[in-house]
Amino acid sequence: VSDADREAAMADLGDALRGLVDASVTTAAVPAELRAAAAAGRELTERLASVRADEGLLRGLHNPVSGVGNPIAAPLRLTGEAGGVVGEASFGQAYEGPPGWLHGGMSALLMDEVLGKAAAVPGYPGMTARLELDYRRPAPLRTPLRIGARITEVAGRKTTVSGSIGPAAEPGRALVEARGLWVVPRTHAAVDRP
Amino acid sequence: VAPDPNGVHADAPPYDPDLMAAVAELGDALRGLVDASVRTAAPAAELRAAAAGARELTGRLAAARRPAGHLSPLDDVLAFRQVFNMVSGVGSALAPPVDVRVVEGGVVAETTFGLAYEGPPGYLHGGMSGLVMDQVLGAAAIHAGLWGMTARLELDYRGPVPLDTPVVLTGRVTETAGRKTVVSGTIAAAARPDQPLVEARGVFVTPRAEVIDSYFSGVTDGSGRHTAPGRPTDATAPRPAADA
Repeated sequence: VSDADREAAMADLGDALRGLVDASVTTAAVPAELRAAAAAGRELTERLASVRADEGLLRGLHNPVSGVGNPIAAPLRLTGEAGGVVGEASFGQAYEGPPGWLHGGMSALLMDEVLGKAAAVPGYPGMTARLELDYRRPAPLRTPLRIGARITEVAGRKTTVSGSIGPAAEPGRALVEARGLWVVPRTHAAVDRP
Repeated sequence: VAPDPNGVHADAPPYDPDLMAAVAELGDALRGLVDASVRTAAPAAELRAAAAGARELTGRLAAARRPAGHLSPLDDVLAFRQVFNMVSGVGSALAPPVDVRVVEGGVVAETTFGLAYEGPPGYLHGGMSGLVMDQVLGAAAIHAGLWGMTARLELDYRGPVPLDTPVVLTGRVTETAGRKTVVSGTIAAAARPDQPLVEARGVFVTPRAEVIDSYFSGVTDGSGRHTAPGRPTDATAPRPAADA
């Protein structure tokens, strides 16, 4: 059995669990049905947990923002564009903050992921040192959002990145703007960077 | 475990305790399932069988759904009770969950982040720190009677936050002026609460009445009545102890 087959199966499980999470926060089921679902969920957990190991994990699929194998991720699919990265995703009821709107903290999670990916484009994975966000308007649920970022400055081990979240249907309109500083750990910098 | 779905307003209105317990039980079961799904070393066939089992379960739960904009009967917008909140909700499979408690001068929360929240190997995703601090800082503003929507959030990362390790989160209001509230907070290992790994600062702004109307015009509570968040007023303020 190939790794590709197992990765496809993990992506399938991630997709199924995203659907289950969405149903669990929107269901109008009565308590007895919820308890039956909980029992069935625990049975599935036991089956998956019976095969646990330090090896054989598909960590590459489990990023909480972009990982197809992680039920927490929408997931966001990122692609490179000139000078940066961009992705698109819609967020359902499970990601709600104020009634009807995306949780403000989700914007921080999304921006950290996308700014960090943009900072890593030249090939130097760094760690977030600072992230700041300005919220212009709330971001709607169940609406395609465009999330993009680009490097604005590189100075030694420090990379400054800017990005925004906006409606996919209205390019150029920013609901949330973010700016972050990524720092390449010294050990990497010494080896990889001039 | 008695669910504490709110943790912000001790005097929130009552709810159906049986439904609350069932929602919390399902949330707990699905949190376990999410965690198992990212830790499993099961072969492809077993993963596909689990996916099929999950889809069957989804079909059962989705047979009756709340329409968008119609809050759960367990939620209370004025008391900020949100059982499916993705950070603090007992019913959310996405939430760690973070149990926010009111203390002298602000709020405190303890939680442990599992592998599903991983960024750099072994450590919390940097953006997760932003997600949970937005919630904790916002809860500190709410506790002070100063609900607002996030206008600005700043995070300084001093050190990586370890996974599978108890952490403590704090938030306290540092400044208030009109509709604007400034809140500061930290994330630290529970074993070393005085050494912040992440420092956060948030600015929350209470929208003007007409803006609240435009943002929340379609929201109804469990009984179908229109409802919207806001700062406490005479009508919505927590009742004095003598009335309770």
